[in-house]
Amino acid sequence: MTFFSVLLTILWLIVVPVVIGAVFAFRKNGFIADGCRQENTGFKLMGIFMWSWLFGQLLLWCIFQFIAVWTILHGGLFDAIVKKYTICVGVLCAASVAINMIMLFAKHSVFGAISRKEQDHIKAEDNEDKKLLIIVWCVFVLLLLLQMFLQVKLAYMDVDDSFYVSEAVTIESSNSMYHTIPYTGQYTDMDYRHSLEPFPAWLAFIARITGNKVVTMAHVLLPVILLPLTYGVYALVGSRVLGDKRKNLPIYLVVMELLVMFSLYSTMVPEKFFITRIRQGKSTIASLIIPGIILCLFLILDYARKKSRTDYAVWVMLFLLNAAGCLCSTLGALLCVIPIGIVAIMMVFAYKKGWHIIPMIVGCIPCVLFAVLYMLNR
Amino acid sequence: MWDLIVNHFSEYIGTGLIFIIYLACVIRMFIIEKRKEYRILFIYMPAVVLVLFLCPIVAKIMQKYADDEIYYRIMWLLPVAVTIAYTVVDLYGRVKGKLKAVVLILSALLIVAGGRLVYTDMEYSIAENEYHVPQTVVDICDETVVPGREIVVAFPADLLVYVRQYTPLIVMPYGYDELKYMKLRNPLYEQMIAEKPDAEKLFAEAVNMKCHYVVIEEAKEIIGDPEEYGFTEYKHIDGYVLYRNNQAYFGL
Repeated sequence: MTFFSVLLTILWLIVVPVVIGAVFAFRKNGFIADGCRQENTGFKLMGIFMWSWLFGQLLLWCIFQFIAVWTILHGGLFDAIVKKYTICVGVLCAASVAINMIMLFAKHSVFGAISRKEQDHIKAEDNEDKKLLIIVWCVFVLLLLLQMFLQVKLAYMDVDDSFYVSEAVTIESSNSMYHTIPYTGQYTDMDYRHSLEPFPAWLAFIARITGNKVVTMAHVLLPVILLPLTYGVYALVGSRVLGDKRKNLPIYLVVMELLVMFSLYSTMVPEKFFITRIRQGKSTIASLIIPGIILCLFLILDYARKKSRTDYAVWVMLFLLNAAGCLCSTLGALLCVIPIGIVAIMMVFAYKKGWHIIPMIVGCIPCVLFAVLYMLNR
Repeated sequence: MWDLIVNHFSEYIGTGLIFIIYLACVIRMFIIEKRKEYRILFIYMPAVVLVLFLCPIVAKIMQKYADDEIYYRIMWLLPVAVTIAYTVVDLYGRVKGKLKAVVLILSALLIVAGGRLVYTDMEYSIAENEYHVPQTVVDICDETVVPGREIVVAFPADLLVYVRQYTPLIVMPYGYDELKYMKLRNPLYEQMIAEKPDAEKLFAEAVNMKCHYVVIEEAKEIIGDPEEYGFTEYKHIDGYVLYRNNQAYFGL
């Protein structure tokens, strides 16, 4: 791990997703601009940054899932995935920069909304709790930094790493995929089940492209970066769910942090998975993808309540979450579809309309597709 | 089937207090929350998820198409943390003055009392290097690896998990799955975990499995002379002895 490889990691795991996700987050209209219109400039920028990061990372995971599974099932090598995926990311970055420049010059970007002064009532409300909330914000940041620091200083021994991290190490070094027993390194028949959830291959890609050892990427660099991303997703969920109480977001976030940091009451809860083994796909689905789906469903329900047309970006996000869920775990196909299905059916009864079911079904296509592949190859 | 459900449920809720707090938050929401979107997402959807989880037919289907061990993951769909955090903020917004601080402190105390600090988990240790792999494993692997080819090394049980995370150039005659699924018993592994390994059985199996090295705890007494079976004591590293197979080929 060198200074340059750390910089490259930041580039690939933060800058690239933010640049790509900006296509969705920089739009002048839509749910992101609407959601942050009444925030002050700092929060608007923070919100847009987090939405960009989330959208970008989900899009990148989605593309990786389709490229990787296609290549693996056609007997391709890891190098082929690296080549195809790198080209895709390059094209997406260039396209995103071009689109955002056009939006900026044509004054169609969200930054038009930032300059508006719609904050008077918020300022008036803020005075009462301002000091306390500033303290709570500081507590949140300190706890976040502490968790990031401990991710580096403490090693967590999880036996599943001997499968997932070893798989990534093998893929990166041998160029062949899912033909080796990760526990031993002995050759075996194609492991179809795990080839449909190629999160270790993504880990191997990130390690290769940034010049880090896979084991360092898995245990140190990736957790340190996924930690703020995941809390960012919690913040996005909180900022929507809290509605007009969203100025109290730091309280919400500190409670989330406490629930994560004091999650040793059970070995099975998502908060425990999140803090101890975020490098594994199953942890990512528990801590990031499922909260993302809750957020998406909340936005869909909110549009239904307002009786207005759902922003297309919400449907895109739902699709990306489902595809990313399949990348993380084969069980992801089921875990993503269950809440979407339940909410879709309930919405028919609650709002007496069924039109939303179609885009929700379309959003679930990746899950259905990979579930069918799983069944066929069992 | 019911046993599976009950076991997973009880293990999932752990000490139970956080789950009780969650249920209290949901009941509170059920009583005071009128907005449809909140009721659907935080009351009805979790209720259906819970019913699905408790349904033996669902458990049977999961058992057939997935794995018993992961059945509890359906419970991940309950938005426990979001619901609790939302309720704390909601309560905070409903009180005034010093009561606000009381709400915050009480909530924090409840969570801390109901949970357990994750960093007290026995599986945590101070990282010995940038790989988060014990330095012993790194030292043994660096000593045995031949760049450009694979080397077969038999490791003791406590190091198995780490070896191939550090290097793919070491192949093992048995792995962590041997520990996990004891039915996959391997004769070499049986000797490796024996209190007093029999040199004849141990090294004959090691040769049989084309091992270049065998790594054994220094404290273990081997019955017999390894040299008789073609293995020489090669090096002592951090409390382990490396036996090298004299007949094995180490070239590229």
